[in-house]
Amino acid sequence: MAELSATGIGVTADGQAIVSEADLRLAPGELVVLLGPNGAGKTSLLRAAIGLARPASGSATIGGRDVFATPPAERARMLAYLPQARALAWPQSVRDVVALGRFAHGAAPGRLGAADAAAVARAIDAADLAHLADRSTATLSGGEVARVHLARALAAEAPLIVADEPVASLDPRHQHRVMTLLRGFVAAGGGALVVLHDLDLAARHADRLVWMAGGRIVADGPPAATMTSDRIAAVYGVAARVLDTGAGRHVIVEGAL
Amino acid sequence: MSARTLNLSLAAASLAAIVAACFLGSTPLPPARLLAALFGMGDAGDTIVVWAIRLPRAIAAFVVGAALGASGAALQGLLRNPLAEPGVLGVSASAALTATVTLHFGLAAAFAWALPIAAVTGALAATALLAAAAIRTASIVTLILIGVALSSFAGALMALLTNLAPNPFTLADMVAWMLGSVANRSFADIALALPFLGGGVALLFATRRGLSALTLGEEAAAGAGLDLARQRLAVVAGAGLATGGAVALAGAIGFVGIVAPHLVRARVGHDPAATLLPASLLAGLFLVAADIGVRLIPGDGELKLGVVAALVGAPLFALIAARRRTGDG
Repeated sequence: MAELSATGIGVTADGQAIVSEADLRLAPGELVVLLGPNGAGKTSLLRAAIGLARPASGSATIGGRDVFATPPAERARMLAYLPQARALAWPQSVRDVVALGRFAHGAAPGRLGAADAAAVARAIDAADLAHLADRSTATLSGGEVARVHLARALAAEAPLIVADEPVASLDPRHQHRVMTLLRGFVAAGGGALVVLHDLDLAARHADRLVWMAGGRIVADGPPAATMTSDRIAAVYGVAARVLDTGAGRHVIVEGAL
Repeated sequence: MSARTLNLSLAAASLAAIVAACFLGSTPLPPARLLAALFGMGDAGDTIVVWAIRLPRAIAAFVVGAALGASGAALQGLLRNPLAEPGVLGVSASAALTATVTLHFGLAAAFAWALPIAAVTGALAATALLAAAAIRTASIVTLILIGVALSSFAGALMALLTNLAPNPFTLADMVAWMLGSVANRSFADIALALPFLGGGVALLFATRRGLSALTLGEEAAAGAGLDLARQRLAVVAGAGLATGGAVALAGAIGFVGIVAPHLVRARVGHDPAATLLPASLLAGLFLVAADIGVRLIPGDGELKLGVVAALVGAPLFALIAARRRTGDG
């Protein structure tokens, strides 16, 4: 089973500890949200856990194998990664950018096998991009570009997706559309690990929350158990009320402490 | 126009230009005699004129252009910027410097492989330096500034070497390498540069799928399964070999690698991988045509090919730079 498991991850930069003793796990069938203020070490932890940057300490496995001993393409077939940066160097068509998601399967834009073309078409449909498929990505809005990137990750048809702030700078409607897409991916048997800054969005969509502060994991559990006013105050330094309406938890942030 | 049609028409146009270039020269050759000579059925004099003088010159222009076009397209893909190019980044000047050093000290005359090996070494050193800098900075402006420094430094040293030239023949040789020319090239010269040119271009073509992935940025491309370190190394080595080989054969010719990819990019859907072949063909065609121009422009001495390439290329470079929306990168 494709499962990501990182233990005791420590990352240092210029002698400073960015991440210390962090454990992170992601399995198919769950949507995990990684929470923490700016500079908590979330991105550094993710990059180390998925094998993009060698950590100073700790180890990570994917599908039971050391991530750093796994060839990049093989790793990418098990885990699709969506980094924060969404720059596209060239104004390619939406379809061609989504097709890059098949890179780990040996395909390239304009050179797609039948299975690749089918996966690209499914991803384009899932992200509701069919009407934009032939448009240049340079002409799209921020929300549309975000969906293109998500479709690119979906096109890999990897069992796991790790997305670093996939809803950053999106309007509320697009934020919910992206989260709904990821929920659909999880409902279909995938596992998603998502970095979010919107506590309400996290409470609504996550199966499990991983809380990070000062480079350490300070809590790991379902929203019902870990989303509390005290924890939000400790991690983010804000006063917040957590309301349980029965239909779900809502977070109202009232101000900085 | 599909990418396939584009490539086929560029290949056909290149072939036609090479044949057309064979008509030019001090001995007029009518088409029938030229064709006969090309296929080895003409008289001995014609055959020598075509096979020893005109055809090698045209083919040298084509392979040099093709190598520079492929290097430009690949460097642009790697650095994700249309302004990257061996000339602008100082790779050509570095290669020309090491080549002129071998001319100055008479090494090239003593040992035929000295010049191509020196040119390739100079080019590889420059691409390696740029790649090391590119890991630290995402800014193309920084890289171009490093290129400016490399070019100025190499230019200054070359000027010094010409001042100290032991005799007028060495001086003329060195000037030809600094300005770029394919005059008087033989098939033997081409054979010396070909292993580097061919190897470099082959390496660039082998990495083209990775260039597509780099559209997403390095982080996302690595996440999508690209071995980033290997990709960088391959493009740096490929561009270094191809540019070094091109400089060994024709001296420093700038801007070709920027003009050709720019003109074909939109026609292949902006995919860096798909840009490689047509950019390479168009750059080859461009240099064959420019070399025809060199010989048609009247004047006492022949204009240098690198001068013509820069006359066309430099304004276009400025235009592309000015049109970019972002100030940096």
